[in-house]
Amino acid sequence: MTLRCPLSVTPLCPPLSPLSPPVPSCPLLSPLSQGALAGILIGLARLNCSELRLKRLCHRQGLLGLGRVVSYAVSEWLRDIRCHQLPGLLGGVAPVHAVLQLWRALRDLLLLPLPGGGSRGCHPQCHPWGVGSGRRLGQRRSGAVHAAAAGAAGFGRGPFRTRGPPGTPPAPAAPTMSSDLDVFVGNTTLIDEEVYRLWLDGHSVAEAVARRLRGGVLEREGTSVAVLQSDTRDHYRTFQMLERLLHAPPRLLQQLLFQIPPERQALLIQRYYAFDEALARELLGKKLSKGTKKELDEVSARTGVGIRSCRRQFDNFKRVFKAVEELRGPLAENIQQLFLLPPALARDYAAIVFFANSRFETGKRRLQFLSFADFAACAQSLMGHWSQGALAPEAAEPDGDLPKSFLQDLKELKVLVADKDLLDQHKSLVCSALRGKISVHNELEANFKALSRALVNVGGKLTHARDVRDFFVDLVEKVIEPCRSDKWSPGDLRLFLTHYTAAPRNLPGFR
Amino acid sequence: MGTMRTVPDFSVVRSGHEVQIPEQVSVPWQGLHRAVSRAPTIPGPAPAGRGGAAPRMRSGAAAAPRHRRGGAAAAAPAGAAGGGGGRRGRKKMPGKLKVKIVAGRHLPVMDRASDLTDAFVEVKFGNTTFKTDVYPKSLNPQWNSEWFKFEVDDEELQDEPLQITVLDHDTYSANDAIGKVYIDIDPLLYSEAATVISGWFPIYDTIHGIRGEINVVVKVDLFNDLNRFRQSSCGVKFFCTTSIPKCYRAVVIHGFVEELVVNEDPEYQWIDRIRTPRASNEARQRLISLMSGELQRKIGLKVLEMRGNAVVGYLQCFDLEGESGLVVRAIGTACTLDKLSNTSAFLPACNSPSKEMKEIPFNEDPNPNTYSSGPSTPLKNQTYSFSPSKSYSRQSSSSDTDLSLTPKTGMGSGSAGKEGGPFKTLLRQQTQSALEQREFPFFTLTTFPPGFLLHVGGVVSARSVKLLDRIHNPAFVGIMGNTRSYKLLDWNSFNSDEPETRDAWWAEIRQEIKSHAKALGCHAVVGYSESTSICEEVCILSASGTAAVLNPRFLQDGTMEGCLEQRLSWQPGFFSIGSEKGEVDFFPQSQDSSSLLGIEEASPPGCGFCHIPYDELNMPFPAHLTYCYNCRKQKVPDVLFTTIDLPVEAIVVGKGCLIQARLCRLKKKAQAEANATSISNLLPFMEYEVHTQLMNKLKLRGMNALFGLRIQITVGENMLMGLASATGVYLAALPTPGGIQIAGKTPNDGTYEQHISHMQKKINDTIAKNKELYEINPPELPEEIIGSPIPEPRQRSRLLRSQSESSDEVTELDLSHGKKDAFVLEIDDTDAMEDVHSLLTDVPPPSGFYSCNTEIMPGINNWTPEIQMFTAVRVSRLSNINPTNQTLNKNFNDLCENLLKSLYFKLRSMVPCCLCHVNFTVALPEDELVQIAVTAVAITYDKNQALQANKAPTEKSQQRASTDNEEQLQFPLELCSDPLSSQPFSPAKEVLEGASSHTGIPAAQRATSVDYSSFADRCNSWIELIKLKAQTIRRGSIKTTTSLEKASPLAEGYLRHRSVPSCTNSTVSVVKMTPLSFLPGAKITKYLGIINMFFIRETTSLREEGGVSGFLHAFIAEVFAMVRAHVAALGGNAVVSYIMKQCVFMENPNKNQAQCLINVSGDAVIFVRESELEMLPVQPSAAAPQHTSSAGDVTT
Repeated sequence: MTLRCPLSVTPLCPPLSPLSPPVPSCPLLSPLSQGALAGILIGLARLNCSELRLKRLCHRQGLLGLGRVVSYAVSEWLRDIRCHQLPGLLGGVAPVHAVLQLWRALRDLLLLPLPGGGSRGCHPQCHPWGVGSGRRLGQRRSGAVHAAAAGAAGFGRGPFRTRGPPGTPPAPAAPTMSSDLDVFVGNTTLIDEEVYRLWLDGHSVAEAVARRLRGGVLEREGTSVAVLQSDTRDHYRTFQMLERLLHAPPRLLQQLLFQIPPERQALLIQRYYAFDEALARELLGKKLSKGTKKELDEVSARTGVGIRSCRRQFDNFKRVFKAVEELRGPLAENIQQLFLLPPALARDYAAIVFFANSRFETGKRRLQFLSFADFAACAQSLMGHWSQGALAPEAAEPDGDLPKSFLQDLKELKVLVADKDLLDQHKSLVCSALRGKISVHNELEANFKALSRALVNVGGKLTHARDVRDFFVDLVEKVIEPCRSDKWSPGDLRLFLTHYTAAPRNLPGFR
Repeated sequence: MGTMRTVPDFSVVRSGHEVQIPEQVSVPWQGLHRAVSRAPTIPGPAPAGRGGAAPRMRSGAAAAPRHRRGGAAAAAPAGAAGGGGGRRGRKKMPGKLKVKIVAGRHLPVMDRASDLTDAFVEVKFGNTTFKTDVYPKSLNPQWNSEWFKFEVDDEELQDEPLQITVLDHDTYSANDAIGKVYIDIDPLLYSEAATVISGWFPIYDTIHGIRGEINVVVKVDLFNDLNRFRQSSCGVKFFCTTSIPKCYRAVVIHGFVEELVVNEDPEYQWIDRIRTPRASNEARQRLISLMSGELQRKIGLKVLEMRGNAVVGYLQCFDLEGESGLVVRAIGTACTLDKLSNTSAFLPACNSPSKEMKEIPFNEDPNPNTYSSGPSTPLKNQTYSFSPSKSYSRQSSSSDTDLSLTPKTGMGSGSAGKEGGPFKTLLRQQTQSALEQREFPFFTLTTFPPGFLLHVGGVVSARSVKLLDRIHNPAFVGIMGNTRSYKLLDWNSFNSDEPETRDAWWAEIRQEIKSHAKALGCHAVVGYSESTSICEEVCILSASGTAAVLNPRFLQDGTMEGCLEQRLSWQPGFFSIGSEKGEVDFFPQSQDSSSLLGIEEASPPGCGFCHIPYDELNMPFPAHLTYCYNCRKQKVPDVLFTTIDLPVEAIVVGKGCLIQARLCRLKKKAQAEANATSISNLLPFMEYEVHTQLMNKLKLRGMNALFGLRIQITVGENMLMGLASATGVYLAALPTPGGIQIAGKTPNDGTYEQHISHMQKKINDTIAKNKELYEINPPELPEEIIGSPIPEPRQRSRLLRSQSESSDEVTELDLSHGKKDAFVLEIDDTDAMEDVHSLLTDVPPPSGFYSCNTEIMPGINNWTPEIQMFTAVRVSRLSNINPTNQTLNKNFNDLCENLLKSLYFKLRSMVPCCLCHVNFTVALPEDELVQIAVTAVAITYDKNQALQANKAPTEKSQQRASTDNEEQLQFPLELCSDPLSSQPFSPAKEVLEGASSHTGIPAAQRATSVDYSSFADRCNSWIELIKLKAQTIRRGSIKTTTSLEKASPLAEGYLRHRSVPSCTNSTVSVVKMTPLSFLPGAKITKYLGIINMFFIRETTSLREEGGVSGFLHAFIAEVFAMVRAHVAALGGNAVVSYIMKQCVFMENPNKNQAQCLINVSGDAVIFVRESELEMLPVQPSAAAPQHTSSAGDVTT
């Protein structure tokens, strides 16, 4: 398997995209070994057996009282069944449920980057992969140049305070008469959105003044540079005082020091917690520790986000993480309540926390094509379907972790590939269902076994923390890249996965 | 030194302003005696003990308990004026103060190990201290204490602040203080004001600023009828507002009250060297709080003696005299106010606001025959004084001596016209004598009921330079050596042999003012204010006001309505003691006046106050008089300067503008007497120049009158600064000002000539531009009107003012229109050139902005409710090595201009708006440092309407007068029932509602959160939603015992107060602040009491707090926050007449230290939006979320 960094993807796209522009084709296709109908049959048979065996196992253990693990598994199954009467599922058989869950999550994961295939309707990505990543890359590259410049500037400025956005930088030389002290305090705190943005972006007062000057305030308002400086400093001071409160937004609502209308408060909070997706993408899955913080210089250079802004955002992530780490209940809702964020932003933060908690590896080159939005969508589906809250709301564990018992259960799915009969039956079911519906049917028939094995193996390995981290890497490496080389289209893949998850319910063992 | 010479017309300048050069110079030397003040009636020698206060609580020690009732009360020196003749020593228990500490939130982390705090609270009032339990390990403690009850007498209630200290409990070491809250419980002592103080107060520490908040409930139960306890003055209402408060009616305006209290400044005591800065600051804060409480009580006593029930225009100031002590002084106007609730009595008045105005001139004109006998008049007037008290007679005796000044005018009139002379004198005598019973016929009000002002003479001011002497001699410490902490001292015991006191200083200045007013033919001074400027041991005392002739009716009976029946009702009672004749004679006369009314109707009102009060032929200064351009009957000066607000009835052309004169003068550094001499030598010149500048700038804007004039002269180590601010307007009654003409001194020089003409052109252009900018286009009067035969009414008026007849022919027949009386500037040296240049450098505000320093901008009347009050402070270093007057002037000018510019820039989002009540305060804290503090309010207005309205300025201003009247008069009719109708539901129901909406978000809100259209909507909805959720969550997670039911009795009070005010959806109730006496688009329904707060903030980590700017920025924000919190706790939603009276900032960058003192005051009020008034039935439901959130506040 070749490692494909985004750079190597780019040359691929120009020839591909003109080939099939309307039908969003994907470079997922790979030559699959054709045939092996017999295998399907065998697989089916095996599946059947396995189902019986499982049941038998259940009985036997119930009678004998042996094996804590299995009995625990049984109880987990029952609970799962009780709690999640998912529609259209094979009622009663827990492993199948688990399979279905896994597939669903996987499908969401795989489909997301595909054209029109995302579960998030709000992210219409009309480019084929290559184009999309190429464009993104272009952005990133230009961003990198920018960032390098900014970073250099940042280094030039020398060390500054470690926390958050800038402190008051040394006052620029006063023009005529030196104003030692210059403050303006309104009963209703004045907030200039433009200056707030500049402050959030980590500009010093001098930079902010320069930018405002470029913005043409002077011409519009007919004022002087000194006035602009004093105004900017005033705002910066206000923001610095507000920052402490912004760290705990409910305090901002309760505090008495600043009288700010509610809509302004909302704006302050939202802007403060807004983040650059590029930066979030870089930090996704990393431990939010001091070590990571020290690497922010590099991240800043890579993403083109100012270093101070990087630090603020990193601190935001960390703060949110710390606050909700131990809390029960749905992550996004907790975040929304503790930080008063708009729902969409809270969901994004939930994704960040989820990734940081499970420490998923996202930094591999092979995963570079995935954007933050893609991962966020994955995180949402994982949390929605796999998390403790989703599976067992009354459980004491916080929402960020994947429940161990569930992962344990996934292991049971190995029969799907281990048992030849089951495998064959499964294959035949899927293939017959998909006949004529997908363009890559031949490749599917050829590769079904490999695909199924890959999927089941990825799921089965998740009991080890180490493998959990590699979850996305494995998926891309073992599932997506073969598909990509076989030129599967997203629609094909979605169909396949739907049927792949649905099929076992017709298998004898899973009924 | 620049000399600007004017042609003879200059003298008119002085009509506006009295520059009494000879007197000025003579004054200072009276001040060289030792400064001592009247003794406060604070007895009590050493503090007996400090109760439970442990040694670590230095603050407790500093705030030494006063043993007022320690039997020493008897020792109170009788010198206390008006104070307590024979009423001392009553020790009853008129009240019980109840305090409950509910909860705290956001406390600072005091225990580094656990990152938590074990907080408890000490509640202290007088000598009694209570403590709550320690609430362990929480930053949001829920004490929910019992009711702490203090049994106190009323005197104590008035003087003492309630002191709440939050501490962190330490088992092994001393408990650390987190911070304090001082609550002034005065508002609870009025019958109709707040009944409970309840809310979140910021916990304030003088070193760390605000550290968390504490929820406190305070109540007072009064046992007895308070009037029997004359040591106290419970029930006297105080208002900072310098007009009759909106929901009151003035029955009588009694006049001037003043008092001052002196003490040693804790900061300058020997003990300060060994105690912590925190202890010093707290000692100071507490002392000033005590002193102002005492001051207020004493003033209240004076008011009660005058039979008044309120003080309006209460202005309290601190003089930090350094080592020589600390003076707290206050002036105000005593009034008898009547709450506007009985609508029936009021109804006739509001129907005819214009009528009453016209009626007034007649009421003052008594029949000459009636009062021919001189002595009878004062005798009769004696009866006006309701309380024949001891102090009163003292005052009248002092005024006797001043009567010698009156004949000046009387004689003049006598020589002018035989028939009119005695008539006029009598007229004056009547009112004069009424006023002169008072020691000082001064009024701190700036806005008056229509008709109150008859004539305005002009600005009168007096300054005097004094040397502060050290009171602090070693012997003194020796005597008091046994007391470890300072205390309020009985100064008399030490200084009884010193005749000179600060009281005497002020009395002297007031006398001077009074004599100036007399010279202007006026018997009263309105818009009166006093100020000081202290630098080291030199102190400039300044007083200024506007000489005026008042309508006597208001002073005695105050029947503002002017209804005849009303007068009938009071007259018998009024004259019951006086001569029977008076009553009989007076009555027909008033009938007569009402019959005259019909004739007078023809002349438009609104010019009466411009007419000169003095005799034309015997003017106190040369002036240029013309006939009033409005009524054409009486004479007016060509320029009018006043310290008051523009009267509502005044007819104004165009808009007004802020006019400032700025001046810097170098002074040699000198010691003591030499210093005082040089200052007093400089003062007259400064006054003169400031005056010239004002005049030039006024002319440059094509205006003819200044209102709200405030001249501030500040003394520094090596310079004096003068800053005069005023609002220029064009009064329709006054003549059009001429332009400014520049005359060169050397006419032969060609280039020079050219230069001059160039400048002349520039000036003319500026004038034209300004006229356009301020929309000054006075209606051109057709010549025939001017020359027309005198109509009938005029004959009458001439009858009243005979002098005008004679002068009519004598002086000039052609009433010139400007060009002739052009103001000529003669340029004879570079200084003058400089001046002319500076004249032209004043940039007008950017378009969309107007500014003024009066309450409202003349010419704009369509205000929208959006207001933004702000305080800006700037300290600049004048960095010139060898400063000259010119460069200093320029620097100072730039500083002010830049400050204004940055204000305009800051507030650009509010355009079109007007900066009202722009109040500049200049201080010279150090060599070369100039500190300027500005407090003002920006009010937006509707531009379209403004343009429309400007089409007919005259009509509009009349309209405004009437609407203003209506506002003043009518709205109580609507409102009297309002508090009731707004609460049709019971508090219990409200709580229920609150509870129900806690659990589920109202459906309406949910709906908005789904389909939001704008960003603001969206934010609102989700913030709202989240807030509710956050509250429920928080309550759940903290697991407090305070459930909603438990909090409900508390919440009830809370809600009751919150229900009337704003409907804003915030957990923290919004409190508006304004330096004005009103809120645009809103009706003030209730005055809750005076807010008077003094704060000290100090830091020893200046750099870490963001430098001086960061430090002061935070401090001012904190002061605002504390004011708002106190108002909100009283149940109010706004502060009107807010003023920052003092902002003393000191820094020591080398030590990384800074200290700042701020004193603010204002009136807490409840207002209701006019729009809400209309839809009052809807209000309760709309306000439901508000209750929810406030209930949530209580529980969390």
